[in-house]
Formats: sequence, structure tokens, C-alpha cells
Amino acid sequence: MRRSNFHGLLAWITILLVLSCQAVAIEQIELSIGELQTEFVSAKNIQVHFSLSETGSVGVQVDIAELDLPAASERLKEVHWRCSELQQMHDAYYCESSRLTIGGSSLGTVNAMLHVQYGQPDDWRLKFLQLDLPGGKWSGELFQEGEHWQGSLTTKGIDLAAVTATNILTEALADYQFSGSMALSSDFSGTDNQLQRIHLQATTTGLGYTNEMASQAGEALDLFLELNGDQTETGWQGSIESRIQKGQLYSEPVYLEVSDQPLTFASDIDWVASENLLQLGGVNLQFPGTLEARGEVKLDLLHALPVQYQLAFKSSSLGGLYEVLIQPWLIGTAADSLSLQGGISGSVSGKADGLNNARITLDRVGMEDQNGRFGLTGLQGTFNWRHDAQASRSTLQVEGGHLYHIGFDAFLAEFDVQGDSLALSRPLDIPLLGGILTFQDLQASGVTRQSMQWQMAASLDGVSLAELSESLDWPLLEGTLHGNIPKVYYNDKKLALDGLLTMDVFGGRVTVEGLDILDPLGVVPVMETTMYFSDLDLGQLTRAFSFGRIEGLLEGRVDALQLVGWELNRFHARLATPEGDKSRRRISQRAVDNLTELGNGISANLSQTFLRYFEDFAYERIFLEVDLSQNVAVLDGLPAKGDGYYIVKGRGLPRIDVIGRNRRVAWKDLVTRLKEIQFEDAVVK
Amino acid sequence: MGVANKMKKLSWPLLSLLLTACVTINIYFPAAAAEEAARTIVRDVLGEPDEESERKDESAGSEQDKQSAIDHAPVFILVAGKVLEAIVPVAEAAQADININTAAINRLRKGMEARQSKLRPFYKSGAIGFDQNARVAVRDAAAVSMKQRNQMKKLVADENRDRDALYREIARANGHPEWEQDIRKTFSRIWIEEAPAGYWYKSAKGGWVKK
Repeated sequence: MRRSNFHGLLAWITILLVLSCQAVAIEQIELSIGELQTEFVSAKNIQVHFSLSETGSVGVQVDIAELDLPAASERLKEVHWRCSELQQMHDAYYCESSRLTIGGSSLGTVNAMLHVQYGQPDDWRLKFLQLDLPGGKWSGELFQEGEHWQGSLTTKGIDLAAVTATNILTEALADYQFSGSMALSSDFSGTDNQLQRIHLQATTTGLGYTNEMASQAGEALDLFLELNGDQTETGWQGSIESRIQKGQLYSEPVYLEVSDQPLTFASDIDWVASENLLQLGGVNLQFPGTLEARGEVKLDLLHALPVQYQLAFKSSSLGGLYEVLIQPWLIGTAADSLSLQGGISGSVSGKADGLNNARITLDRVGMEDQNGRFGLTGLQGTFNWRHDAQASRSTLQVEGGHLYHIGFDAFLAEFDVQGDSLALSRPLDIPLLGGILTFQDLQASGVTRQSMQWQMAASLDGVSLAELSESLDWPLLEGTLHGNIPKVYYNDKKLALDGLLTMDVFGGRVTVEGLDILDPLGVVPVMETTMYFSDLDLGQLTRAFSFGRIEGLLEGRVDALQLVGWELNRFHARLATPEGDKSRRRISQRAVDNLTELGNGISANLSQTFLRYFEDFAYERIFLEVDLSQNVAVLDGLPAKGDGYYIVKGRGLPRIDVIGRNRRVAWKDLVTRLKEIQFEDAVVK
Repeated sequence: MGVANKMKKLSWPLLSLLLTACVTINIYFPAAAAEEAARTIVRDVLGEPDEESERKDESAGSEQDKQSAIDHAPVFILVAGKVLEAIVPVAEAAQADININTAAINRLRKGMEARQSKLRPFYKSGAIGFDQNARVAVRDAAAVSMKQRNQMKKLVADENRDRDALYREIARANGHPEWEQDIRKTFSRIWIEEAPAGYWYKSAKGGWVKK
């Protein structure tokens, strides 16, 4: 039935009822319509009941078994409308107070008190005096004038938990639970069956939500949302503004807590329907104390992915930004326990395939690993990164810092970054312990992935062993450390040095050949290396360690030296007087006493023997071999009679020999006695 | 007929004896010692075991005996093993010990013990549990307030970092880096056995089970 026919039918029924009051006593008229179809609606099993009251007013009752509204994708069941007094004025019909009930809909059961005005199919008005929907009461109106229709809906507060209990949430929100309340007001308008403009304001109080995995959740959220939209030829355009006044948000792995100052987000929106593409222009995110960001984002709504974005950001509190937005992504890495100060700003842009460009400027940034492994102060500079364009220059100025206990001073680094590669654009000089550590030819790859690897050449010049020993809380050493390492590389959590590090110390030279550190910033780094000693002046060495004077030269090597967690775990050391040493070789009483104490736990007390008259004694050779493995040190020296071995083989008169007897020593005991200048398992003969 | 013939008759059984016995000794992973070491560490880290755990410990003790390949061997291999045990050097026999007393291991143990009081509420609430790889896994993040979730994840990451290092270091400290997986497997069982009632663990089938 066409809508004009429907209107005509209504008019004739009314006339019939009015006439019946004057002529024939017709008090009720019932119409049954099996099926009714218009452009916007189709209905089945329609019953219309007109009744005439004693006062002459006309009541109407409409019952529809099934009502389809294709434009709203809605099918209503058991629709009942009761109007106790239908009035006619000019060409329009009114019902001041009527009741609508809908037994079944996507909203569940619906009850409404309605004011109805009907003039023409394109001239009608529905006023919802009270609309009971799941979760709360609404009010509003809907009217049409000509081709144009308009409406509004308002609720002072709906119970979101009750809304969750219905099936009205979309598929995307189907596994979410909501709580709290929401006030909402909306205005909308359109032409024919097209919605053309919408304005919506929503305010939540104590909003809580969580999905089944608890990966998305909110608690006690007071937020405000305003949305404006106008239909365009391609879709919709408008704006969105939201403000979180207070509450907590969790979007795995990020947790936000808003209390004092609100988090705000505003943007223009442009939705291209054919591509399901949402363009956010003029994005403005303000998270006081943490982050400000502005820019543009294009989102593919079908795949929920950004396809193009360009954002400028600024944070005056890098510490706050790290804690809230960065650290959660770094949990499990060496950078998950940082304390940061200073500010950061920059811009990023990218497309669907990922980040394309990044420019980050550091402003007086300080960084300290809370586990004490590394730290940097006064970082200034700009980091430029491009994915596929030509490499651009980055600079980083550092005031100072430390790696474990070794401090370093200010330096300037210049490097080029492109894709996942990084290269130093000029040698990097780092002032270190009174000397210079120089890195050059740095080539790194995988910098944007967890599997970063790099290699470079390095050199050390003039590093003070005195400062090094002070930094590492070692006995004071004198001399300098220098070296040239043609290849330093890091791959698969292993830092390796190919080359020689030499230390000019105690008048001789200590050479470190090759050095590997597995997991250098891990909980238990493992370091392995080999060391050689040549022409060490025992006079200088024993003075440094206050051991008691020994004169002569010393050479040797430490093979398979292994430190686990920076503690000695394994080595094979061999220290000896060089063959053919022509230097003066003397050992003092005190040194003998100390060696004796090291040997058997008690001093030889030479001062209480006739030997006290001799200040020192000549010796032929010193020789000590220590093989440490699994907490046991196996000692050896020059062959001696019986099962002993010479540690010090004397010569001349009076002759003193230091002979070890037991060859296996618990390493812990040995270290304890070394600290107390005692040396178990050797005896003075 | 004489000594030579007697020797000839004896040579084959003796050779068989030695060959079989050699295999038994060289491939042996000291499961019992590893289990004892693991139990010591786990008890220290978790704190005092409850009665239920102790009961299970007893039953575990009987299981532990089953770990030895020797127990499943025929009697003559057992005898061969005993004979060889008498002739192999002391250093070989010493492999049955597991050394857990190194600076690195002690540091890791201390770190894990100190962390335990922070992890305990999460174990008890069922938010985290022991997995089958001797690590800690998040079981139910929703059991923890949103504010605590990242703190919990950080604790779990730190604990797993220490655990991984612990298994690696025990193997290394005993001169057998290749034992790491065996040690991890041993620890996996002991963590679960020693866990107090109410703690969750992942079963071999992959599901979570409450003790």
C-alpha cells in the first residue's frame, strides 16, 4: 500500500467515526491488514482498533506483529500503540498522550510515552515524553517537515552494566563488560532515509570496562566526548573532542592514570565510506606532564591499522613519558629500569608498512640505569632516522656518564642512520680515565630490531691505570693503558674484541689478547680473555700492593681467563722470572714473611730468627702456576724434591726457598688468605 | 689347559663388562644431585615448605631414584658399574656432585629470594604461576589491578631473567654447559613440587592447575 493511500484510509476512517456520532451509533471499528509495505517500512499482521468514548473522543489502538525498518536494520516485534484520544485539527491528527510498547527489538523491550502529531507522510512529529530503554530513561523527539527530518535524544544517566546485559553491543564490543553511568544528548537530522547530520555529547561517571583478556580496561573514568558529523558525498566529516577528567586506563601494555589535569584529545574527522578510511586532521593530544602531540592520521577501519600518519610531539618530562608510554614496551630488555630526566620533542611519520621518518631532539636528558650498569648525563642533540630515504646526520652531545663503575667525560657523536643501519660519520672520541677511547668505522644493523649487531674499530690511548684501579676499587696501579683494536663487534648478545690491549704498567707490559663478553648488560655477564705479562718490575709491583719488596722481573700469561658476573671463575696462570733474567733479584724479609703467611697461614717471623740481620735475600727464580676450575685452584711451581714445588727458589747465602707442598686449594680459601696476605699449602723451608 | 685358557674364557665377559660399564658412566647426568641442588635453591627462594610439599618431597624422593639409568639396567650392568666404579679415577666419580656455590649463583639466588615477597601475592592470587619451562608465566592478568599489572610483568621478567641465568650458570659452574636443559627440566619439576598449596602451575598438557 502506498503512503498516500495509507493517509487517505486514515482520513476516511476518521470521517466515518465522526459521522457515526451523528447518524448511526457505531462505537468501534476494527481493521485487519495482513501486510503493509512502504518505501521505509513493512509490517505484518496489523490490527487497528478505533473506539468512540461516551465523551465523543476517538481512541486508537494499533497492534503490529512484526515491523521491519530496513534503513535502521531493525526488526520490531509485538508493537502496540495506544492512544486514548485522537484529535484532529485542520489537516492533522494529534494524540497528546499515547503509549508505545515493543515486545522485541535489538534494544530488548521498549516502553515509551509519546506525543504524536500526524499531518502528512512528510509532516509528522513524535515526542518521547519518556522512553524506557535498557539501562535507563530517555526523552526526545523526532519530526519530519517535507523531505527533512530531525530528532534528538537525551538521557540523564544510563546504567552501563544493564546495557552490557543486553545484546545491543556491536560485535567489536561483544566481549566487553561495562559499568558506571553515562549521560548523553544527541541531535540528528536527515532527508528521506539518509542521516545527514549528527551532534552527540556524552559524559560518563565512574566508567569501567574490561574485555575478556583484560588487555583493555578502564576504571572510575569520568570522561567527556563530543562528536559532530555531517554527511558528505564520500562519507562523513566532522570533529571529535574527548576529555578524560579522571580515572585509570589500561591498553596493554600501557597504563594511564589521570587525576589532577585532564587528558584531552581533539581532531577533525573525515570518513571515506568507500574505502572505510578515517582521516583524523588537526589531531591535538594533551596529556599534561607527559606528552603533547599534534598531527594527522589516516586509519584503515577495516583492519584497524594506521595507513598514514604524521605527528609532532613534545614532552617536557621524559621521565613521565618513559614511565607511562615507553617502559611498558621495554619490559624484559636492558632498558626497562631507567630513571630519566629532561625533555624530548620531535616528529614521526609513517605509512601502512611502518615508521618512515623520525626526528627526535633531546633536551638536557639524563639517564641512569636503576641497576647501576650505565648512565648518561646532559644529553643534547637530534636523532634523525629515515627508513628508505638517504641517510641523514644525527648529533648527540653527552656531558658524561659511566659504564658500570668506569666513568667518562663529555663527547660529541655524529652518526648517520638509515633504515636499520647506523654508521659513525666521524671518529668518536670519549675522554676516559685521563685518556681517550676512540671508536671509528662503526657499522650497526638491526638497530630497529631486537637482533642488533654492530662492529667497529677502537683504540685506547693514555688511560690512567691509577684512575681505573680507583674506579674498580682495585689496589692502586700505576701506568697507562693503550691499545688498538681493529675489530670490536657485537652480535647475538656477545661483545667481542679482536686485537690487543696493552697496559704499560710496573715498568713492563700487560697485554690483553681478544676479549669476549657474553650478555654484557645481562644479569650474569660472562667475560673471557687471555693476558700476557712481560718484563714487569717486581719492585714497582710489590710497592703498589704493599706486599714487601721483591726485586727482579716477572713474565707470564693467564689463559682461558673467565669472569662470570664479573667474578673470577676460571683461569690458568703462569707467572715466572724470565729465563736468563740478568736483573738484581732480591726478596725482602717482609715479602718472605708474607709469602710464608700466604703459604701456611702463619708468618715465618724471620725477624725472630738470626735471619733478622739480613734485610733481603737473593733468589734464583720465582715461578707460580695456578689452574682455577670449579672453585679449586691447582698450584704448581719449579720441580722440587719430594712432592713439593718451588715458588721461590733461593740462591746464595743465606738461602731461602719457598716451597709449596699441597697442590689443590679451595679458591675461596686462597682468596681469603690473599686478602689477609696468607698463602696456604706452601711452606718456607 | 692352564692359566691361558682360563684367561681366554674370562676375556669376553670381562670385555663386555667394561664396554657396557663405560657407557653407563660417561653419559650419566647426575639427576639425583641436580634434584637435590634444585630443591635446596627452590626451598630457599620460596621460603619454608608446607607439610603438603614435604609429603610430596618424600614421594619425589622415590621418583628421583628412578632417574638413574643404572636402575633400569640389567643386573650384570649394575655389577659392571660397581666394578668400574672401583677402577675409575676419583675425578670421574666427582661428577655426581652439583656445585651451586659460586659467586654468580649466590648472587642470583639472593636476588630471587629478595624478589619472592613481591611475587608471592601474585602467585597466591593466581595471576602468575610456574610453567613447564622452569619459568614464571602470567596466568590471569585480570586478577591484578590495572595499576599493578606492569609492575607484575616487570617482576616476572626479572625473575625469568634470573632463572634463565641460574640454570645456565649451574651448568657452567659444573663444567657442563650442555647440561642447561637437563637442569632446567629438573628445576621445572621441583618448582612445582615445592610450590605451596594455592599456587598455580602449567601441566604437561598445557592447562593451568591449582595446587
